[in-house]
Amino acid sequence: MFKNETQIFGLLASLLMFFAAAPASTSYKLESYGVGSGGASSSSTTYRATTITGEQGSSTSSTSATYTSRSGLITTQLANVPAAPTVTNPSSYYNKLHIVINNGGNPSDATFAIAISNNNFSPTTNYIKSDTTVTSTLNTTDWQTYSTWGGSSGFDVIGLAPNTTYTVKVKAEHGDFTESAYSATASAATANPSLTFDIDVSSTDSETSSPYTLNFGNLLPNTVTDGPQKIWIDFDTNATSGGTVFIASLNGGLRSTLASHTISSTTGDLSSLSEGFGAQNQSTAQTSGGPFVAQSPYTSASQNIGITDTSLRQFYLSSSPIVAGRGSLLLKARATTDTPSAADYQDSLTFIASASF
Amino acid sequence: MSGKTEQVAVEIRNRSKSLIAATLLIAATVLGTLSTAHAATLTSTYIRLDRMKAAQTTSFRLVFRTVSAGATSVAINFNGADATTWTASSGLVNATQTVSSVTCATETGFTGLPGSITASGSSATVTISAVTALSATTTYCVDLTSATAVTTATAGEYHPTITVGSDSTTTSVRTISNDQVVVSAVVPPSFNFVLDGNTTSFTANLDSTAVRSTTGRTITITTNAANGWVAWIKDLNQGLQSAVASKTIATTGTINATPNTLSAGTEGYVLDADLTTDAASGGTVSISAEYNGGANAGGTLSSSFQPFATSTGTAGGSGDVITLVGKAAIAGDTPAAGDYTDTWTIIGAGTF
Repeated sequence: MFKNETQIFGLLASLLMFFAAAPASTSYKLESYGVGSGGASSSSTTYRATTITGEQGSSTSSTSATYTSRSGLITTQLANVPAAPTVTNPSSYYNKLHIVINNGGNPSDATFAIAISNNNFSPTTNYIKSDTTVTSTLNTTDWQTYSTWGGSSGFDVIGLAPNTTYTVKVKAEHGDFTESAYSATASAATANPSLTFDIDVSSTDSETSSPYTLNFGNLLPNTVTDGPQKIWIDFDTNATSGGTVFIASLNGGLRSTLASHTISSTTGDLSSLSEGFGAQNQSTAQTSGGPFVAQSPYTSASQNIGITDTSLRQFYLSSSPIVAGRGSLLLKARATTDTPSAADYQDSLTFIASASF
Repeated sequence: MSGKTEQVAVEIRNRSKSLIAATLLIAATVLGTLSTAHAATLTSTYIRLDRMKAAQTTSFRLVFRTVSAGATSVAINFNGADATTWTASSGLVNATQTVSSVTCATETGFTGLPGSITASGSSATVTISAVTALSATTTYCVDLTSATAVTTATAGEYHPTITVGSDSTTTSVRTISNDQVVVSAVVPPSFNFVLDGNTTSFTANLDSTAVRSTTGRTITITTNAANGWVAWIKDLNQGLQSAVASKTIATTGTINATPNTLSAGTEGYVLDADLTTDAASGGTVSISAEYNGGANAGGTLSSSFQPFATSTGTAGGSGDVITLVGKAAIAGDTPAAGDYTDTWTIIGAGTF
């Protein structure tokens, strides 16, 4: 196949050229290197001296959590092995984790590749791409400097599966043929997508139990009557795009079967309307995230109300994850002199929530 | 060539072969990687259960944003990857499904799921078929419109999986003990009945040549009585009585649902009721036939309460207004006196 050694060495040289150029970075350039003749090595409990064997990456090597010593000339050029990265889930993320890598004392132009696995690398090893998504193949563009990986602030790896533990390890290189071994691993778990929602009916901010009822009592003619209690909403989600609380009405107002009349819900100012029924936001709050924001037409004050009809209408909205969102709303009603008298005026307000993951 | 040199050459050949093989393997791996399609994660995805109450049948809405293009089906697996699943918690997926994307597209502004879409349920999964190939990075919506599309599971959080072609994501829905507030109110009975005055008199002295009328007295009624109201009148003297002349100009006729017409020169005395205002809203006012008189006509005044007006419903705003006018005629020999008088008692009530 090969007529002489010159041809063989020529082929090897071509292959080496194919895979790698000479080691170089912005701060140094190794002009050339050769193959040595090999030799013996020695070690003790406190050091290990591996002599030149003339080959890259022979079986003679030593590794701990903080270093790797391999045989051969290349050993002297390897990047430092980074310490284990920091992997956390600071906000109940269901599709991402926060990673801060350790540069291991490598120069600022050293680059790092990050491996990630949902089964502790047995058998799957994936990699974090430069766009912080996960891929099965490590490309040269996915080797990034410490600062590009976010430095001490780190970055979020995205596109992860919920309710899954991920293990992460990092390796470094500082020019070709200097790739270090992997660091020790670190792990964290994604949460499940979550949505918490609850209703309370109370004059003050407190938790109440179902069934939820609210009785206006008498609606005096030409008088705006406030509901004696407020309706309180609990809303909490880790959804990336937050979520929405909706309101809908069964009757589109306070309906009396006996009087065959409905005090219709409407949007407007009850102080100038002869008759009407509707809702008005009273308060919003959250522990973090959000914010929890009331939506039009429920945001006006005084005697202004928003319609509650058979359509599901947005009442509260959070456009990002929110912790302990809490809102309260007040119902208002007004009857007029000819609003038929009856004791069975009633409506059922339905509150639902969804979160956008 | 020495034996040692030959050995080196063989080793180099062997290593060369290994290197070539490794090169080919790497190339194959790279090519294989390039040709492999990886499933992506849908974003901006939600399921909105239109009722969140546990054990409640409901329709629901699905919204998702694609990553890849080309999907022609959508599957919603309510069990997802939960350990305690939807169907194991009394949740159901109806086999029969109806689906539409018109309303949701209007309401959300997202793209309605295209195609002559159909849907069916099986086990924990609703599958939407016949979807026209979806575009990449587009937010779609669709409504599973049947009021019994699913039966909600026991109160808790569940994590359905949405699969769109090769892409998928896991979302969260929650069911709660009760998602409704029952609001009630009472509109108490109200009845207002106002006389604009308590005296009236004839606009001119009674004269045998004319039928004279009193200044009208109005009754204004506002009420929220759903079934309307009734107004009655009772007369004290059944006529205009003069103590000085010991004479009564007696009321004319009988209570027979027919007004009596007075004639100048003939003694007579009646009550005429006129509808002045029928409130814009509420019931319709009617004047009793007995008292629905004309220019010189009216009904007989009685010692017992006689209804002179009714309404079929409520009276709001400025109310219903009735005007009462007394009418009288005298003969040429009717004794002169300045104290002819009578007293009407007027009452009303709402029919609640």
